[in-house]
Amino acid sequence: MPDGSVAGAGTNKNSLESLGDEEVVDLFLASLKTDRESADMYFEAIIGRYYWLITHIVRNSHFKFPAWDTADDVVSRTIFKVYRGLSQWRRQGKLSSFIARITTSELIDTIRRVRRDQTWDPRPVASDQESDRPTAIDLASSREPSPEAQLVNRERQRIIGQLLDDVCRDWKDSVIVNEYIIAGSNGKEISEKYEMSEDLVYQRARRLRVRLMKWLAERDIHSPEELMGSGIGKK
Amino acid sequence: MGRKTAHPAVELFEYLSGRLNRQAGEAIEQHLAACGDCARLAGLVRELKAGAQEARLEQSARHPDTGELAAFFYGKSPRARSAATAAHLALCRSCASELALHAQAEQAASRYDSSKVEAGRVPDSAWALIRDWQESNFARPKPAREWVSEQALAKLSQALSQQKDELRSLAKSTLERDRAGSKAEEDPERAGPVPVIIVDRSARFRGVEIFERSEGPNGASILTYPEKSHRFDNKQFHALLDFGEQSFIVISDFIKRDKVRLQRVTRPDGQLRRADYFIVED
Repeated sequence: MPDGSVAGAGTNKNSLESLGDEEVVDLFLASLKTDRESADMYFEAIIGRYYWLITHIVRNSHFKFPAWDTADDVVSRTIFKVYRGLSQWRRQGKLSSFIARITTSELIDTIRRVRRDQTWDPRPVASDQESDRPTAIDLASSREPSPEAQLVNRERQRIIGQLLDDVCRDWKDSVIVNEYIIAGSNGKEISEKYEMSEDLVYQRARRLRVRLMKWLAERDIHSPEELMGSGIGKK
Repeated sequence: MGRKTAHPAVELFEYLSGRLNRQAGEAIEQHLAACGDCARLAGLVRELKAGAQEARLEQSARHPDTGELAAFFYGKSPRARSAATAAHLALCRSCASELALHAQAEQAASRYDSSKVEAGRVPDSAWALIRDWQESNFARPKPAREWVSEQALAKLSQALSQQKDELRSLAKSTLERDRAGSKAEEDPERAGPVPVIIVDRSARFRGVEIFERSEGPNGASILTYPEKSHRFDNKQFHALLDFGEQSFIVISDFIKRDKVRLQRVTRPDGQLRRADYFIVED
């Protein structure tokens, strides 16, 4: 790691351009505690290289940001987290990948937060408290299934969870099960959404078919009724 | 009985999703009538589809957090957690869509050439966040020597005592989950998995991670973080060695590439009775 003397010897923006990402990050980390002005300069150089990657990832998500949490806010928070997290970069992967991960995590946090906020409707419900007429809430039928149905559903979910635990080896398997097998999306849509080739989608689907059949054979399950009554996964 | 056709591969999934034309669909139906294996698979897929519907209603409270999602995508999460995340992602459309964002970002990152774009700059709002953080107490790293002061050790010791039962139980269950058994705990110098307590700078308990201990040259202990995530790289690993009431020391060294080497310490006035390990992580 550079000893900081390079930093003090008049490293300027032009000479930074000739340095690789690792070198600039090392200079940044070395000067962080002792020379904040230099650290800021190195950090500007790092973000100068990757600012457009960050904004591309945020804006390419096509998420409709609300007025109180805009795409620019997400970009700023991402940059702040890059500042805090650069010491965690392990150098095995590219800096672009490291920054992409931070950006996407911040983006997902934002999406989840905005969705939670949007479930709350701040508008007061207009109601006539003197009226004897039943309200819409009074008239709405219960969406809850019966206790027996809930028990069956929970058992089904437990068994399905065990099955998926066993057959899904990585994220690609999971999304193929989700999108292709269960939801019925076509291979082209999946390949575009998840940045994998269409061939890979079908290849993984074939492998999953084999694993699913093997799973059934190993447990000697011959019907859905046997599946539900199999007690699989129970301790 | 109809003649059995070749087993459909992905065509079976296409059929169950209603995407085959009538002729192809009829061929699949004929095959299913004659082939028990494929009929079982079709039944299973129908159960998955039905189960996914109910799971969507129930799983809203159990989404993996963003860290888990990223770790799963980048292949860094430990096996037990990744199996649970894989199962969730196979059913949850919203989490799968979020994971797609990682895939798209990673693709963008792999194609990105910083030398071919105009230099950007750090926005003022980002600098404002950075300055606020720098001015706050959280940003001021204490030197390790200062952290492992008498007061910090006393505080840690108090925290460990107060939560001793809970920590031991948590460490034990973590060990069992990693199929290691608990014998390693009883012998402080035995090779095998050891629980390492993670605390923050205020000595507050953050969690337990398992390291694998092996013997190095000259009796040194080499502790390795088996997840290979480099999470603790460049952090100090501290061993609190208990030689008895009168003799108690701390040895520390930096973790590099998931490994740390601790020299063997012996005392003439006592035998090593217990070793506790901890890492300070904010």
